Amino acid sequence: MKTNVANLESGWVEITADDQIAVQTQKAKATPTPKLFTLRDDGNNADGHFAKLDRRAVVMGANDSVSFLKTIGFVKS
Amino acid sequence: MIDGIFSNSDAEILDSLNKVQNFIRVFYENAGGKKYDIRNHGPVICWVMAKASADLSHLPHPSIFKKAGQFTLHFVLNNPITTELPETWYLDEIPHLNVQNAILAFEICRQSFFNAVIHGADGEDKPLKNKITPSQHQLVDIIKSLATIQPVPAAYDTYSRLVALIYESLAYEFNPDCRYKHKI
Repeated sequence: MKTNVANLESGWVEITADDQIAVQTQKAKATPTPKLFTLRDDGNNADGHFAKLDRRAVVMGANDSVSFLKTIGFVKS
Repeated sequence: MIDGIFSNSDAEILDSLNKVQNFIRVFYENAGGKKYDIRNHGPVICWVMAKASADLSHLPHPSIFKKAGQFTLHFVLNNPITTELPETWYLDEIPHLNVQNAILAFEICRQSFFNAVIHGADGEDKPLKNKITPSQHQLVDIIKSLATIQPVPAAYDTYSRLVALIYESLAYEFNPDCRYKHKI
């Protein structure tokens, strides 16, 4: 597990499931410690809320889709 | 991914649009074909989302399957994606345009079901923890059927109900503990 610091205003951060993300939002900048989220494997944060970070799950889903379609033989080789 | 399309919140609708567009972009990158051109397809995808949402607006709490049925129907009727996939992705005797749109509509919904929460009749919320993984022959039949749906407005409600039922049946096949208890 690694810890990344992401400023949501800056857009993307590379993460994997179970990585801890310190999210420093505009509001959190006023506080000394950014709030920590731990992502589940579906890309949502541990509180069960859909975080902006779940865009990463969309990318994982698209990767999975192409792999799945090739694996079951839908795509001709 | 598709849940936000049916939201009353502008931010959630926009977020869903971004997710759908991003999904398609990454799908095309991995498929190895032409680059997906967001500028050409974005407006039609907005139209698809608006139509799907409007057609379910009479229901206060539609299920994820009903939402997916409407999204899929309007996606394959409007064919928003004109960028071709590599030749090996196409089925015989069906125009390319229809196939790529049927594949993307189905896959966007299939991925959206993963961890979607089903509100059970017993009041208990149950997440769909397992992804739907249809067989090759199931998928070919589904894609062929979606790609050949005819634009007959009087049948749209029937189409969307049937597609929603297929999604629901598949979801419960792979998540049997989420299924409603049948009264025989």
